[in-house]
Amino acid sequence: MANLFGVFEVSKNNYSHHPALVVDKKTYSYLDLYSGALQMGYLLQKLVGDQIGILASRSYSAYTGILGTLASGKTYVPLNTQFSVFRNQLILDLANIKVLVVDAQGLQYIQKQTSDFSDNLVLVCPEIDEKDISKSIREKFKIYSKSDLKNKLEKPILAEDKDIAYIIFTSGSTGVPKGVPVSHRNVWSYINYLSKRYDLTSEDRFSQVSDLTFDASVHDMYLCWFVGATLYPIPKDVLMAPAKFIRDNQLTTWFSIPSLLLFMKRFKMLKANSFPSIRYSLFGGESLPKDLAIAWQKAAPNSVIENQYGATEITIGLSHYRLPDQEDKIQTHNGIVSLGEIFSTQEYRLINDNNEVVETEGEICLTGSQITKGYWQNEEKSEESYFKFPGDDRIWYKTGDILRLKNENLFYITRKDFQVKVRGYRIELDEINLVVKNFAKVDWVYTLPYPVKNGLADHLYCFIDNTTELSKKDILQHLRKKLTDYMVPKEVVFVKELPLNPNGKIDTKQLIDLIK
Amino acid sequence: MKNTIQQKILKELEPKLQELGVAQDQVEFKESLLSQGILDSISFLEFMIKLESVFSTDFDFSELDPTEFTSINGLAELIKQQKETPNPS
Repeated sequence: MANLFGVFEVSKNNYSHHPALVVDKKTYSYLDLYSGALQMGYLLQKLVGDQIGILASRSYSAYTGILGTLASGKTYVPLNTQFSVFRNQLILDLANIKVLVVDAQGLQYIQKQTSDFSDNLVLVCPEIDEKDISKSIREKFKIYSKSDLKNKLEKPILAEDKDIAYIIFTSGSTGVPKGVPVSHRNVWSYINYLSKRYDLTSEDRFSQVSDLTFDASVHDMYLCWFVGATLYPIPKDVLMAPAKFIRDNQLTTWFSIPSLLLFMKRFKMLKANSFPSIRYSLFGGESLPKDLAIAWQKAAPNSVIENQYGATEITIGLSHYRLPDQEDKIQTHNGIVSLGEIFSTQEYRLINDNNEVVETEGEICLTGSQITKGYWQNEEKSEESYFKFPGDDRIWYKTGDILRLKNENLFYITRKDFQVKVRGYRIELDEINLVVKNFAKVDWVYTLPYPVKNGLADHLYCFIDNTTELSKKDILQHLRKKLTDYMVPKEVVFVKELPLNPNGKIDTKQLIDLIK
Repeated sequence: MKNTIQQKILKELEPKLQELGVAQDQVEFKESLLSQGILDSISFLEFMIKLESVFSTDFDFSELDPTEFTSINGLAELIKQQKETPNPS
């Protein structure tokens, strides 16, 4: 049985009064959270639709919404108050979501732009009293507030292993986000593997750094609850300087994107032995520069450090490189720490453009229990990325990442397409280009990440044909409306013509000179 | 002259305010710049780098709870404190 709510239920039976979650300075035991989930589940199973949206920060409402969705046998779809309404509403439409679980922050977000949401939504607000919800929201939507969550499911409705636990939407080059449906079995396979690899116990205290729209959050929740440990979501404001939080709560396991460490280092938070309580540190979502890894090791001297490689489509992560004790033994390529070896439960191949297997360098493709089966209701995109080898009936996923195999370790080399990462978020540059192009009605738009240091991109810059009459401000405001924060370029630069190099390719060096 | 540091901070924030179409007197000094929607967590940290050079100080966040310095008043207090603390190195 690989059901995620089943996993939580087993820990509830073993550790009923042990804290499962500490959030907003409140502690919830396994039993508390389980009861909350069964109440939520009772309501959700009666409501229409198989997909439940979660529009909340990392709050009790979010976790009880996620667990309640799973307890009712349905699928959760995380949304984000950092996204534009346009994008959130697009996801609601694509995933056919009629019911949203919201917390105070989510409600505030809806309040600000009520008319942009479709009318037939149902809002479930587990922490909010009806009297605190404004009239305009109550008139437009069907509301279930705190007092409506009284009845409980007698027992959870457990979905089958192959059923979808969550759908996470990622940037799509055609301007429409792609949904990645991930099954209970996919996640269970990941969690089960890691729980055997690490020596974790119910006394561990897990960080929860990433937004729910990023699948690192799935690692935090389910690895934590699988071993009966306690989850510590770190609020967004606190994340800007999390050192004190880590120490005050004596966190033992850490999982974040490497770029968070850049700021920690910059503001002197990585002093020697700052975090002696941390036993395991995992980094993923983007390249891990060697110097940052070493800085973290000094700050967390008792920690095992592992670099993970993964993607939403292959369920969080499926390779690991454990940092050796000696700095000079750390395997790198261009200053970036190796991705190590693929989990022994999954299979990989490196291929060329003709899907032929190559030995040492090529696009990595994967198959196994962690690999999803295709994009949500998007056959065209699925066919581009999911395929079968002749005479092999298994589904393989093509990542678009070019990797090199050296001394039995994998190394990240480059992307095959125009996808970049800014602060761990996947961005298809064409998605931005398309929005700008349609708005400004120009012949060409070219967006590039800059500066890129050790594989980490700081910002995006958008170069645009200067025939448009629109101002920089017009364009940026439009992008803020249509895209999410991290996709909005830092600058828009008007250029007379696109500089080309002698081979006829776009000369990015010349473009970069314009912004230096 | 009482609010010199606050005014200086506000002046540095001006380009961002212009971009957002927010007037200086609309900024609430006691409330977090993040919850007012003026900065997000990344632009806040970038703003801190700017403030370091404006006030010629080096911020050390290792012992601080960031929620205490996300407002203009909080930032002014932080700048005062960090300037008073002698640099150990």
